[in-house]
Amino acid sequence: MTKKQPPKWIDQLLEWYCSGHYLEEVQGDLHEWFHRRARRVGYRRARWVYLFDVIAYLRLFRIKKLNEMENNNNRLFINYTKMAFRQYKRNFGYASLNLLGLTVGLLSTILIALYILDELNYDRFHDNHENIYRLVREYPDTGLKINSTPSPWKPNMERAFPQILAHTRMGQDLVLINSEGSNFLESNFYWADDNFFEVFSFEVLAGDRTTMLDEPNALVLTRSMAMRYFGNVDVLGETVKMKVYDGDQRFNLKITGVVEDLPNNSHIQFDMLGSMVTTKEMYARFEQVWGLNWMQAYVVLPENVDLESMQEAMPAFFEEAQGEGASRNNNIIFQPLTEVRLYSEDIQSRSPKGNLNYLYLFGFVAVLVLLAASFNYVNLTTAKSTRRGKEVSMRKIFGARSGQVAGQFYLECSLSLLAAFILAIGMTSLVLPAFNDLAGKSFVILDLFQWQIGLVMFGVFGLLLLLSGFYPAMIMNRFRPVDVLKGNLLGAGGDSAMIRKTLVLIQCAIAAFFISSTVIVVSQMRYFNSYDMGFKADQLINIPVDDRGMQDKLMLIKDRMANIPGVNSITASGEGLPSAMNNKWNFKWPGISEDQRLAINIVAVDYDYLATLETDMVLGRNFSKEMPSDSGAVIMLNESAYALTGWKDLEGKTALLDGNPSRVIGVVQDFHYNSLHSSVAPCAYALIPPGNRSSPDNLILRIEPASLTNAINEVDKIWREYSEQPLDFSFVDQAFARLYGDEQRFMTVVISFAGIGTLLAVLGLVSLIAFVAERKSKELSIRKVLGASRLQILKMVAGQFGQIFLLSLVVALPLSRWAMESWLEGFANRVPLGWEVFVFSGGVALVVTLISISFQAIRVAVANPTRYLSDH
Amino acid sequence: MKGTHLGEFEELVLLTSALLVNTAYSVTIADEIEKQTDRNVTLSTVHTALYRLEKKGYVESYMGGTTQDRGGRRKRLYRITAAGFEVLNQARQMRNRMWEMMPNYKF
Repeated sequence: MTKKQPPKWIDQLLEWYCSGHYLEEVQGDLHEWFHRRARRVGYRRARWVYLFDVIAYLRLFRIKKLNEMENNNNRLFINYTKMAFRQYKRNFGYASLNLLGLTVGLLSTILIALYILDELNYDRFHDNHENIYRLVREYPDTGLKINSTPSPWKPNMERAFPQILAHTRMGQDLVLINSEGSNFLESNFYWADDNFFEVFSFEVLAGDRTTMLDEPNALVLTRSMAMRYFGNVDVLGETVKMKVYDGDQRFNLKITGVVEDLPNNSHIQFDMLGSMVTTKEMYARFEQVWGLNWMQAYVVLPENVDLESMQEAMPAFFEEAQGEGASRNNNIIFQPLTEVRLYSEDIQSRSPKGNLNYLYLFGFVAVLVLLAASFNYVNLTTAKSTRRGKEVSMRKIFGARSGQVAGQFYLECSLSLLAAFILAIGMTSLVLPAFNDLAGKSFVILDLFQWQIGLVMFGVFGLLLLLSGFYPAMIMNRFRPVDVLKGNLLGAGGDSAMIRKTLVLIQCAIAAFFISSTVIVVSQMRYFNSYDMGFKADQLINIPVDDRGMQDKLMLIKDRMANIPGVNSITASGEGLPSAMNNKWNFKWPGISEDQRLAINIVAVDYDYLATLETDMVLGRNFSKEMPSDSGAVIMLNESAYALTGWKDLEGKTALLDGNPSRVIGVVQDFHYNSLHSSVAPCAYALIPPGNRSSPDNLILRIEPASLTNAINEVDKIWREYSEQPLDFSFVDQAFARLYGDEQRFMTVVISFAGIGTLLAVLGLVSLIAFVAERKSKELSIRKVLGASRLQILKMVAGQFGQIFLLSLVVALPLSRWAMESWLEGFANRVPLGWEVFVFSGGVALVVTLISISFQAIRVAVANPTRYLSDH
Repeated sequence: MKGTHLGEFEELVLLTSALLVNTAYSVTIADEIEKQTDRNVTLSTVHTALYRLEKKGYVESYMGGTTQDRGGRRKRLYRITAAGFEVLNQARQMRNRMWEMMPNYKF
């Protein structure tokens, strides 16, 4: 039933804020307006709209003036504020430390929250992000997943799956841009389909989003590319001279669009896009080649698409479109765009992947830091407020109601909390650049104003206010003023020792957790650095040869470079170092059951491969020029592949690689061709002549350190004779180190926050103990007067914490092991976590705690007893 | 002359309050504006405009009668002042002057 009157509570709202000067007319007008509206739209709706009317009336000049409110309360409010500042001034050092601790805790939480939110928001800026899917090619026979897909998928999928609303692709190509006479190598160039910018909502600065990739020879640049080549973004219609390596063709591309630099949280990163139609001539045959993966493909599907049925239709689709049996090594997975960043561990791609485990760990660290800071704050605030019994008693004697006393404490707490929050936000903006460096992000201050962060801050504020205000507001309120004033200072308030002990326990546990986690992270990284890779990475340089035209002459180039003084040895290989091993073949041998499907990495090598890498044979022999038969179907396996076969020797053993029989002549030691995140997968080494997709496209040289510069100059000289592209080489050991860049970064972030967390926890401990010591000061002083030695006193104070400390270790160490487990899971080669790690962390935690305890305990122990005893 | 400028909406409110002799207050004015201009008006905007106009001296107010719908609360009624009438007149003359200068458009 709807009433014929405006809702009471909304009226009360109006009465609450509206100044009495205006209330009568305003409320009358509003009521009249309400009835007028009700006659038109009915009472039910009018009652709702009334709320908006009342809110709309909110103007500064209509708000109640301070002097209109209950007078006495206002005066008190001012007095409370004054008291808050006086309290702060009286305990200046102490209160500042407290505030600072909270600020630092908040600051860390904000930073971590920013990081996590950024990772979670990857690719969500596209208007249609919920309906865009990345196509992932799966090889059901080997289980390999890769984000590159063949060209014919698009036309065939569009025919077979009418659900697909749009299908767009981008294919990377290495190009050389000729600008003012110099050549620049651009590796972030892609050919993209004409509907690319209709699917993705990258910001277009110039050009028409829908048509700019329609014409042949069209080029779209990002802002920074336009700035680099032209010095401004007003470049529509300009021409860019470009050479494509793979197709060995030259183009004059016309700029048809400029887009804003891509957001950092986009997994798609390009500098330039050429229109796909341009490639029609160059790569015409690609349209029919199902086996060549070179396109990143994305589709838009309808909102309530039945992905499962599409997935089920895949085998039939391949059988029909590509031919009988094609479904055995072809499958398409539709991966939601929003999952690309964090759920792609098993998918090979160029785009850097996020790590969900890290996010959990960061989140956990953030919660702990915040917890430590909050406990500190609550602890210290309540501890200090217990000393204000006299003040509370006086107020009560003069007639304060308990609500007023509580209000005063809540006001004080909210003032200091507010200060900490404002400080934290201010400091965040100061440390943001440093944090960006550390975490490899590019946050701006504006990023702080996200509703999630606001929500967290608001929640924390409320909770802290409640907790820190609770003790003084509720407990102290119950004291009988007479008791307090008579000198029973701590009153009948009961002993909060249990609570305080629990808090100390938590603080200790947090500190121990951080210390132990840091120890684990550091020991894993040390384990890495001292790990035997199975080959010698120092003085090894790797030169990728991307130019297809050059690959035919690779052997010639190799022989010429081998003669340079200072080049100890040189080899040509199909995989550089480090390598992700992208050539996987099906692996079988006589005797293996038909339905078992195994994959093996195929590496093209030459006769000098093992010698150059300085890795050893385990069994059999290396390829040899003296054996003419070696140039045929002959391979070597690595240990993992050999172990797979279960062979006892190599006598007459043959393996089937993609169905082709190859004689196995040797077994090579397992060496780590990639980061220690992964274990060494089965590999086959073969001599593959140029012209094959797997044939050598890398030169690996071992250089004499003494003649490094000279040798590289010579290499460069030879290189220039064959290539327009500048020599691009890397030191293998440095390249391996770069693979751990993420870990290094992770390590610094974790260690910094762990340091902050430990510091906060210790800070809490120190002040808690100070508080306890002070409460016990009278007792201790009397003991001293009666002859207790300093050491005994020290023992008394520190002794109470012994049990607590042990208990905290029992809680914290397993917890840190459990938390770090998720991080260690990312490594195939992980440090064994023995008891030493935990004993060590426990020892460090003990030292830290002892220092913090004895600092305070000693102060009491050495003090002159009269100081505490005369305080009456 | 800051503080005496007449905004578009203010002019509308002033005009309407001049039309409604002895009955001009926010509800009737908002109602009249809705009828005349066919646009949706928020009551609080009219109220605010009236206060501004009063501050500028273009209207004056007095507390007046009550009705059942108002729950017995009095209204603040407005009447236009000489200055208000003058400023309306000026606005009108300015418009007329400009209209006379208007070229002969044919659309």
